[in-house]
Amino acid sequence: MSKLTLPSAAIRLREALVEAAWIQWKALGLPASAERPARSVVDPEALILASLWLQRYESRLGKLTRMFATLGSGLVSTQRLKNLRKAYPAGTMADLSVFALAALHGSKDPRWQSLVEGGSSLRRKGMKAEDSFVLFQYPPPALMLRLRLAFSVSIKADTLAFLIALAGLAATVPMVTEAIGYQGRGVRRALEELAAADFIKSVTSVPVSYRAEETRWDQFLELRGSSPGWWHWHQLYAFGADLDHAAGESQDRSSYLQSSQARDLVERHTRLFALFPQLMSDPGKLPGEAYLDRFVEDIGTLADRITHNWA
Amino acid sequence: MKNTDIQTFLGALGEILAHERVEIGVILVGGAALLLQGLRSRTTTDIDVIAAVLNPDATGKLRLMSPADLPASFFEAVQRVARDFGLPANWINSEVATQLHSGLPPGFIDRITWHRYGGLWVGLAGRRDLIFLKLHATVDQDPASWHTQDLIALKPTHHELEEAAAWVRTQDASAEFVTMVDQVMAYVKAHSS
Repeated sequence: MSKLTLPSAAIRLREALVEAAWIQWKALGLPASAERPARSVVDPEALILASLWLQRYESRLGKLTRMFATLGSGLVSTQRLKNLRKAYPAGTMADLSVFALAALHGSKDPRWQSLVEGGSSLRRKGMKAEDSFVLFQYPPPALMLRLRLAFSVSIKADTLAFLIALAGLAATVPMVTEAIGYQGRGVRRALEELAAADFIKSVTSVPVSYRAEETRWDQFLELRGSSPGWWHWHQLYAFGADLDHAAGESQDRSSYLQSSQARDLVERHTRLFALFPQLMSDPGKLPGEAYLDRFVEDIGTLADRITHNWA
Repeated sequence: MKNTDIQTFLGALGEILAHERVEIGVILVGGAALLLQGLRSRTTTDIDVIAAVLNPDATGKLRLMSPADLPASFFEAVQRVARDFGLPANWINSEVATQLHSGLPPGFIDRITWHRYGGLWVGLAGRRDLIFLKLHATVDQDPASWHTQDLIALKPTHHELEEAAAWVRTQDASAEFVTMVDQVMAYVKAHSS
């Protein structure tokens, strides 16, 4: 029987994601203790949802999230939260409602009404949204919030952030849609309008793709050549949450049943591992429980990448 | 599949069913039944299920049913094992279960030996029944076929062959079929001394 288990993999990945969350909150200017600055673009909605999930293991993340609800919710997309939330554990929904209530009270922004379970009486008092409270620093990893502050919370701002993070590489509509988690139709329109306004360039290819000129945006945003990368934090956090859930169910299961659960996880997160094809071994090449050890090793490699390269 | 492979795959199937708190019995014939009883040493491409039973550990007389009527959880577990071990979707199948409707050798159920793999009970048809069924399967086959070679490997006595032939003839009354049975009988008797 294998000594490596699904719970051990879940803990390993979770620890790496907790560390990433600390680094990312610090990048947004919150009083988080992190040993080094962030390297990649912080996805604020993914960070909120992940922190609401991870606070059961690291309660201080919950405190940071509540602080952000009060101070920074004006730059958060409620639509994206709705789009992304189904990838996180059911308990996160109730926590999101609490977050939304804090945001509603803190910002008096009626957008948060729809995320508060059971509604709130505040709407009837004719609330009016206050201006975004500009508290945060905007180092390169805070690119999404910075562009939202400039252009409003919108698909266009997030689309632009993603393309800038690609450092001149081109992306198709499905690639952008997957990265930022909005509906494809809205993303397509945003790309077309950004290209028409000459903020980005369309690339003649099939299918058509778009890119943001690296030197132009680097200079304009004063990134000084340190354009932060895009590491698909929503997909990474969602996978961590799913693995954590599976590990919780696996306590009394044999190595074979755990290996089968691992295959389920890889199937459910096909898109994530298509983004990082070199990360996970092909389950089809390791029959039965032989896959479990390799899966746990692969998760260890993923956790190392998050800790040492991506976060 | 070798003998050990069959046991691994059935074990995995049984683990899944046990986890689902389901108990199912399947009765095997064909190559897998021969291999698991040490009656033949060869490989097989699939596992033939001729009949099934629900709650096989319950006291009282077992009631055979068509494998097609097993609960969906069984078929889902079969497909999970296929995925997990890279097996074809029909690695365990019930193509031979039509025989359940046309009739099994008398006393078939009493000669089954049972083996438990978690939530899966595997019934192996007895040697006498395998001779009957193999003779039936051999009738329209080439002498070099697996069926014929399996039948010879079972080393049936002349008496067992005659009893098997009598039962096989009840499966098809046509003169042509009876002639084919006689031809197979002659071939097997000549090669199983």
